This record gives sequence, structure tokens and C-alpha cells, in this order.
Amino acid sequence: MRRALSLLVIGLLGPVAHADPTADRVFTAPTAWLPPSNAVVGTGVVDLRALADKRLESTLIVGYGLGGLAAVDVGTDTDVRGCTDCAGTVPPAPIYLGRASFRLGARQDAWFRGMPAVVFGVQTTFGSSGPFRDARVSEAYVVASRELGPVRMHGGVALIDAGFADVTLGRKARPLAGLEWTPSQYPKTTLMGDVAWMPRLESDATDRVALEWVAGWGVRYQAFARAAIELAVRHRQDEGLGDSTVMVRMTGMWELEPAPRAVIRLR
Amino acid sequence: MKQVTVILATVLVTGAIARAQPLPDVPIPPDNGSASNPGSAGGSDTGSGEAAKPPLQDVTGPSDPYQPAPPPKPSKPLPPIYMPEVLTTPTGWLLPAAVLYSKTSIDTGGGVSSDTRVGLGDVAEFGLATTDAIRERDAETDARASRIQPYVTASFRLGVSEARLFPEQPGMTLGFRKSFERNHNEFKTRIAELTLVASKHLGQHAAIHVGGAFWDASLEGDLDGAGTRREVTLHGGDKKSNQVRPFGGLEVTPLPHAQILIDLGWAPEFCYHCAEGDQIQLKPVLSWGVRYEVARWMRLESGVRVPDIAEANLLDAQIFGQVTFTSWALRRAVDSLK
Repeated sequence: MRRALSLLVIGLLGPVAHADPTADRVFTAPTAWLPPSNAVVGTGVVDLRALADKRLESTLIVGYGLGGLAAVDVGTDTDVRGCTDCAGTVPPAPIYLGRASFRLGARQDAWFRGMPAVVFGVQTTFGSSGPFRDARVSEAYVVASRELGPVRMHGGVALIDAGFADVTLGRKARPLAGLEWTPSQYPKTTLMGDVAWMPRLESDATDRVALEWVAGWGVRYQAFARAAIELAVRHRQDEGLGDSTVMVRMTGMWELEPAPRAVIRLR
Repeated sequence: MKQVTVILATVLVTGAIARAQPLPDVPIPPDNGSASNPGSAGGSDTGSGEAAKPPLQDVTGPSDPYQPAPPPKPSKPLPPIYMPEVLTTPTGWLLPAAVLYSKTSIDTGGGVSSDTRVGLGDVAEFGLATTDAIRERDAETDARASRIQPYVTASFRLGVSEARLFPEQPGMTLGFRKSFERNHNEFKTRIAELTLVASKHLGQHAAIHVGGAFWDASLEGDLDGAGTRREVTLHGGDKKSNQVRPFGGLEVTPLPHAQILIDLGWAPEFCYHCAEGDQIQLKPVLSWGVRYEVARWMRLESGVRVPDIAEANLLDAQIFGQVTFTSWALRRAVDSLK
């Protein structure tokens, strides 16, 4: 307990030795980290279990840091699942969704010493695949992240809505949380875990949208200063252990040339 | 033999002519009029008997006939350009004279819009735009409204820049925007908007915009489903207050190149088979985002727009991205003609 308290005090009062990390998600849960200004962030995910089943479930997202205050990204992912025979033995299938998000926030210690990074984000979809051609998923969240020594903690709340055809979930609030730990013996390796909620679209005898929790755990290896590779396992509510997904995620960041000198002069 | 003689003669003559020409890199001495133009030299030679004036140029050698270019005038520093729109609502700031402005926007709802303007004499502004903000639905039972796009509008704004009349005076503009008639799904629609807005900087890092809009719109088509066409207008309703809406925005500049923007505006929504009086409605639009000045001539903006914030429908939220270019090229061209 004393050690935890000491860690908390050191984390809150100690100087921040380096800039915020940049990964915008632990695995499913968003973080409050923003990319640097004028930086492009690319993320690619491959689901190894699907690959073993000769299917391709992938995520490809490209983001951009806007002035150090915000980030916008666009891409496609397969986080949301849907089923057409929900009572059967076939697990829900992933739905390819075009998605975009906008995140506006403040970095650690921006307003006062010890302040966590805070982000208000909105994510929405535009286009979908498979039987859920008109699937729509939107999420607004507030999340705070803070480095406490070797640990990074993330916590927040998300407002989720989803629908397809004429069926909608309605706004539902759910918590989200994440934890990262970088052991001092392995400074390039981080153990991570998170939990968040995702919609599941059910087009069966009765069409409906349900929320299911998604819990992930895994390891990040910071191979280069601006590139990392992660291996993770994700479990979903109502899924057996054998249906868990194993994914590999790669993230790279490129800081573009600094902007030419231009000053917004206000009187 | 005759051909060889002709060729030889041609080569010799050409060579002689070429030798008679000055070398291309030797400057030609200036014509001072004393030798080659006797008529002009006669004036000085006759009458007074004074010696002929020496040539103006140095006789020791040829000189450069070209005068050195005058030093360039120091150019005035360009004033800052304050944007004529927050995100969707107009500001009380006008583009400087002859400054060109172009904005292109896309969003996750499939909307594409563009806006091109030019500043007129520091007191007005003219623009042509396509907007994706106008929406339609067939009946009240429609869960979702869809867009009518492209919807082409022309705008004219005039006003007084900030602190022009007195130090604390906000920038003020009176603007008029009108659409071309749009045929969509066999319904003809038009919109028009008159705005008056004031904008004021609050210190160095914030600015506020407050204004009011007077809206009008018309919808023509088979509104009753009886096969006869008729027209309804916003101004034809019972309450004139239905046409008046306040709008406003806020800008915060926490970092030198980046601004946080929030605004609340209004956009018409047409409902073809709704009850009388509900066929044209004004819906509140909330937007927030960030503007990042990548270069002096280029700004990137991104954010979130909720088309009908009164419904607070999260599924309707749109992520947008837009790029704005501004150019002083026309201004420089105009200045060079003065």
C-alpha cells in the first residue's frame, strides 16, 4: 500500500521526462494520448486466428496530428460483429466498417501539475460490409490517461449508439479502462490490458443491437522510436475461450516537415 | 564545277558578312549622335563656334547601356487573414481586398462542399459555394434525413473590419446568401439567408462571434400527393419568428498555430409530405473542431458536426475534414498595376 502511495506521489509530482506516448488505443479502449503536431500515424492489425481459418480480418487506420490539440483518423476496422443466426453455433462474424474519429484534448500537465491527459473523442462509421450494409456505429467518449512511473492508466466513459436498417440501440453509457506496465528491466516492452464495450448487431428472428464487453491483453514491443509491434488476445462476452481472437498490431509514426513560420496574429 | 563555284562564293560572302558583325558579347557603343547623325550635330557646330561637347560616355571603353535596376521597394508585411467562417457559421471578419479564399470539405456522411470567395476593397466579399447542409425527408416517419447536394449558393457580404471606427469596435458584417433553384426528387427548393454578425477578439487567444440570421426557403412540388403542384415558403407561415435564428461561435488559440473552434448555426430541412407548417424547418447544427495553420496559405480543419443537435442523435454525427487555401496573388497583381 505504501509503495503504491509512493508511486502515486512520484507520478503526480515528478517531472514528465518525455512527451506523451502516441497510441490512441490500448487495444479496444481509447487512450488520451494525442500524436504530435503534423505527424502521420499508421496502424495495421491482422487477426491471426482468422488468418488460420483462411479469412482476412484486418484493420488499417491512418491518423494525423492537428496542431498538438487534436487528431483525426480514418480507416477501416472489424471490431464490431454481427450475426444472422444468433441462436446457432456459428459465432458472430466481423463487419468491415469504414470509420473516422476526431479527438480533441489536452496533454499531461497542460493546465496544472499532475493533470492527466484528457481527450474528448467522437468516432463514427461510414459504410459497412456483408449483410449489414447499412450498419452505423457511433461513439463519443471522455478518457483520461496518466503516466505513474512505469505504469500508464486509462479510464473514462463512452456513450455508444449503433444501428442497422430501422433498428437502433439508443445511447448507452459504458465505462472503459486500460492499463500499461513497462518493467524497468525491459524498457522496450510493455504489458497491456483493457476493457471496453462494443455493439453486436443481431439480424435474426428479432433484429436488435446488443452491447458486449471486449477485454484484451497482450504485449507491445517498441522496436523503434517511432514504430511498435503488439501481440494481443481479445475475449468477447458470450464467446467461448476458443473463439478468442489473436491479433498482431503494428503502429508507425512519421513526423512531417515542420510547418513554415506562420503566426496567427491576434490583436 | 559551276555548283562548286556557287557554294564557294556563298561561303565566302557569308563569312565576310559574319566578320562584319560585332561579337555578340561585346556591348555596342551608344549612339551619341555626333558622327552618325550629322543633322543633329549641326546645331552645336554652327553659330556659337564653341568646341564640340565631348561624348557623354567615357571614351576609354564601351560601357553598359543598361541602367541598374532601381532597388525594390520594401514590401509591406501582409496583414493576418481572419477567416470569414468559424466552421459553419459566418464571422464578422471580411477577407482583405483582392485576397482569394478557397475551402473544400468532406465528411463521413458523404458530404462534399466547396466555398470560393474574394475580398472586395476591404469592405465586402463575394463568394460562390456548394453546401451539403440542406437536408430532406419524405415524411415525418422517416427516421433519417438525407442531404440534397450539391446545393449551389452565392453570397455577398459587406462590413466594417474590427477596430476600424473606434478601438473596441467589433468586426461587423451584413451578409446575404442565396441558392440557385434546386430540383431534387421532383421537388424544387430554394433557400436564402440574411445574416448580421459581430466578431471580437478577446485578448490574444480568443475571439467570439455573435449574430442573427433571417431565413427564407421555398418548396414546390406535389406536397399533398394529389398530383397537383404547389409551393410553400418559410415566410408564408404564421410566425415571422420562425425565420429568425441566433447563431454564434467561439475561437480559442491555445497554441500559436492551432485554434479550437465551436459554433452553433442553423440549416433548413425540407419535409415533402409533412403536415402543413412543418414542411420547412430550421434545424440547429453544432460543430466543433480544430484549425491548424500548416502554412501561411494553407489551413487544415477537422472536427465533428451534429446536424440536428436538438435530437442529440449520436448516429447522425459526422467527422469532417477540410482544407482552406488563401492567396495574395491577385492582390499583388492589382498592386503592381498601380
